[in-house]
Amino acid sequence: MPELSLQQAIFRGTSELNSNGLTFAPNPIALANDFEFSSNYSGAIALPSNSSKQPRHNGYEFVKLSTPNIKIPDTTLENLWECTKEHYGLTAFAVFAGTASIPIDKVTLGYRVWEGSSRNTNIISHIGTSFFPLTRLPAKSSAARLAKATFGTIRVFGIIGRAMPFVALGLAVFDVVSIGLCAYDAQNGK
Amino acid sequence: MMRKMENKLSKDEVIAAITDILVGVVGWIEKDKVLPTAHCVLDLHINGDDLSMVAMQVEKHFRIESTQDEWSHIGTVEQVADLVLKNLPQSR
Repeated sequence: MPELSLQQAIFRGTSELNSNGLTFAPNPIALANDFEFSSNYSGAIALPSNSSKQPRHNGYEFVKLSTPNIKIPDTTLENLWECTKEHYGLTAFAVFAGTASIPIDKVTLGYRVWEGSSRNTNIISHIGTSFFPLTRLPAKSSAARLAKATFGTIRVFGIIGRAMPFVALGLAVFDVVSIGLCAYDAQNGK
Repeated sequence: MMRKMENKLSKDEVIAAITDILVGVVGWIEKDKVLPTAHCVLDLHINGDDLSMVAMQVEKHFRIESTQDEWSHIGTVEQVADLVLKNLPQSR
């Protein structure tokens, strides 16, 4: 349906009603004004008037539908905050994991860097190297084979250090999704 | 080993000692896979942090001091042995 101006819509609507056998002859200027000044209402209807001979009716009865007086609670932010508080522990761990995976220059920490190997480590791996250098997975175990294939090491702290950025990212994504779902459920009364 | 170090260590002995350190630190690699000319990162795929620990253990074992610039050009056990022999005090 093409977009029409209010005056055009009134003219067209009146014509269609009259062509269908109704007699509707409103004052188009007065009707347009009534519609224009009804923007604060939820709706407005112009009805053929039985008292069309009286000048103040302008050939129609104008009915305005008032806006329902219902306060729409803005619960989204409250729900989000409640859900965030519920997940605070997880969020804190995500922050910790993110911090623990920040790359640190090995040379600055006093380590030697071989040709072709990474110049960076992280705080978890550094702590492991310093205090638990030989804490390893059992060499022949399947866990060790998996760790070796995935992270290139079977040192426990080396594995944790390598995995931590992925853990942090995963937790951060999980946090956002989980908080969003929780807020959605709360919004819908579940 | 220390008594031998007081004399002159052969390159083969140094290589054998470094290989033992490497195998001990890395934990998952077989000794016979560690060829002197195999690149520890590119060929053996050893983790960089493990190699840093190997470097520390090598310096401690042979009581040598080395710089990062020297380690920047080292990728094989043989090159580590050369570094050790270069940095061993002449009196040993």
